[in-house]
Amino acid sequence: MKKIACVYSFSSSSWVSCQKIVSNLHKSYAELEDVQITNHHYTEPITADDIVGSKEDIIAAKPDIIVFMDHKPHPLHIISLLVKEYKTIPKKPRLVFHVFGDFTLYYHDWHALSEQIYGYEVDFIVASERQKILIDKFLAFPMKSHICPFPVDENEFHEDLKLRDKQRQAWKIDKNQKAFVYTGRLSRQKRILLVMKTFAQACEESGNSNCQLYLYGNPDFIADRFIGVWEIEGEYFRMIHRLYESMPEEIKSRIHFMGNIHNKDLKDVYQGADYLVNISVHNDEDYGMSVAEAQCCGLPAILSDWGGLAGFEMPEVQDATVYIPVRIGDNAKILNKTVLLRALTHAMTNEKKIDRKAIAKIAHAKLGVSAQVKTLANIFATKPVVFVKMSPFFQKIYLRTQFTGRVHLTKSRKINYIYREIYSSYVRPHS
Amino acid sequence: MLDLIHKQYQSRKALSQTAYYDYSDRSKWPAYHWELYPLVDEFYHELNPFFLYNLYSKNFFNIMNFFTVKDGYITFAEFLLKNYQSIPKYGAHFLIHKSLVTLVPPNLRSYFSCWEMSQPKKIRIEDAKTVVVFGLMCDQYLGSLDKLAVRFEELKKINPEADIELYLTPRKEPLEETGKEVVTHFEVYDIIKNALPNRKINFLKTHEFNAKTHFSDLYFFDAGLDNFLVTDKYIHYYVASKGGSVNHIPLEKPKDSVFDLALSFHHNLHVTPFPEDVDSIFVDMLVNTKKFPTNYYAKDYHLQRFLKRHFRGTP
Repeated sequence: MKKIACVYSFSSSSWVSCQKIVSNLHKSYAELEDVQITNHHYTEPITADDIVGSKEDIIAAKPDIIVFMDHKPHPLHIISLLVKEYKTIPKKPRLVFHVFGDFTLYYHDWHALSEQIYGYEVDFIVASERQKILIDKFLAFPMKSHICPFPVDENEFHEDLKLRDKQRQAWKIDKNQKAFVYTGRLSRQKRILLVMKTFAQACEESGNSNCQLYLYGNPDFIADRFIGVWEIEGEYFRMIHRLYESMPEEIKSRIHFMGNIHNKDLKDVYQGADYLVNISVHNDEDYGMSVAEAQCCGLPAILSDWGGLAGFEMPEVQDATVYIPVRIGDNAKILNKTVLLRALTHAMTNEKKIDRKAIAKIAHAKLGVSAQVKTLANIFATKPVVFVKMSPFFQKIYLRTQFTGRVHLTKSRKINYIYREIYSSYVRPHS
Repeated sequence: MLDLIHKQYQSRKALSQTAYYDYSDRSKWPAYHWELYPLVDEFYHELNPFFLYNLYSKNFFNIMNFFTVKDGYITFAEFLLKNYQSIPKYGAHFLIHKSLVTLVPPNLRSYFSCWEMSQPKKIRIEDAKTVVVFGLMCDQYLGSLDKLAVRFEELKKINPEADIELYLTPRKEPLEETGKEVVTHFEVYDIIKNALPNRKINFLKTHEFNAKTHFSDLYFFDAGLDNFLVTDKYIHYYVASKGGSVNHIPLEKPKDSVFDLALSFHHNLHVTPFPEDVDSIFVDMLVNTKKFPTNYYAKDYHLQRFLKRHFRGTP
């Protein structure tokens, strides 16, 4: 029996999607066969005593594998302590890092960590195909990352027609209405303004007055700092509000700002809705937990062809997913507005019934907790690679971060080749 | 006034907006600004929210002529005492909280209008599933502890099923020259224990408060007595903009509102005219401060005492 030490924060992350990700990942680990799990608290902020305590707990558990399954805090600090201890212990554990979308925010920590884990058997696990392409650029040959999508609990997110009626009653809409939903932060890189504008345009062009757009989530001020766009708190909200106020009353009555809701209530929303719209071009978009949960409820989706969202493609079911092409322009990531308008207009006028059961079934098979049990079992069945160093490409970017605050911009504040080299992984080749 | 507001609103220029963000050298801001966290973080709207004590140079008035004043009455008084002769030259218009109107000299009223806030979906404390009690643990924020005990009587209305959390941040007096230590928090805990006997209470650290993601059933009880330090508190903005209810923000908008600006999906700022029947205390204030001349009015004990007597009824 293998012993696995799961290291994560026992307190909830402020990053809403990560609250579910860690708890669901843990469920998948707990279902692995012939495995004994021990849990170790590692959070932020943490006192010196607590971190030493966690380190000692891990050493005492004598794990064969240590899994870092949370996005915060970075594993560097506890790894540094563990590595010191393991210098005197002959059997070294296999180290597994679940890599989140924030990898590119912490080059310094990953660089320091890479010096600590030299000679250890290491696995980097990412959540999507495109994130794998990105992370593999940072790993030196022959090391490659594995893919294990962040799991969705099938018991929480599944198709349930009763909930659909209940939700539509709550929205006060009848059967003829089409409900488009977005769930997540209302953020610049999530292109909320574009969603609103194009929804309004599509309503006009399709002549369909039976469509509603529900935006769940609160505005943030993350902006797009990699490409030099900063915001003050409240600024993006004011942009959304200005746009909303400038719209005709008839359109305004169809756009609804719903605020944050609890994760457990999202399944009602996905059941009640007809389409999910998520055209994020966020730098951290390694996966898309909201899309995974929506698909598990059988919801078709209009998605940007960017990062992890591309991994939700479902060609088996007609109209299950529609992708909006993205390219990296001189100053911004650019979505194809024509295709977005066409996709929304088509969705508004489409009378064909989309097979939601099939979507939910395929999503469960791909993204469910049980599916990831198999994925993890397969990963652990493979022989791990001994870690030597990060790739020269990683070193180049790391060095650049040491000497300039504008890693991704040219002197004239345009997107530079570094950004393109990194994030070309997130766009479809040749797009 | 409405023309001025519309001009500012349409211009979308604000010192705190990204384009002007670097104009203000934050190292020149007074040290007590940082003591006032989490009341003083920056946020944006087109009416240019700013603390006047952060306008360390007259040059600010060259690039901007419209401000929503976030100051409390002590630092607003300082601004007036230092600038009452220059305000007509600045050509700027100031929106101040309605509670500050008595400080404005009668001859300068045309340079001021008022702001108030409202929260149309505010819930009552008895309907909240979570109540967060907040306060900076110092006398300048809380006022007299006897009066605090009276204010805490409202906490008895909290639903027995509701969670109660305390976010009480220990502080020395922000505007105290001597920087003495304070032990107010121990006394406040006693008052809370008396107000909420046999209730389970959870203490929040700042990062725990910041990690909160759901505010729709949350009631934020600010234990602050009045607007001595700050009128437009960032933490109120933070909670209200996420859908929480704040005790100090009223449910209804003022009847004399001439212009509304949404600060979030859940709360609004209303611009109202400067009230007509106001007895200004500016001359008294000026005479009092002349007795004890100082460059640091906000930290001047005599001015503080004078204003506390006016606003609180007690020194």
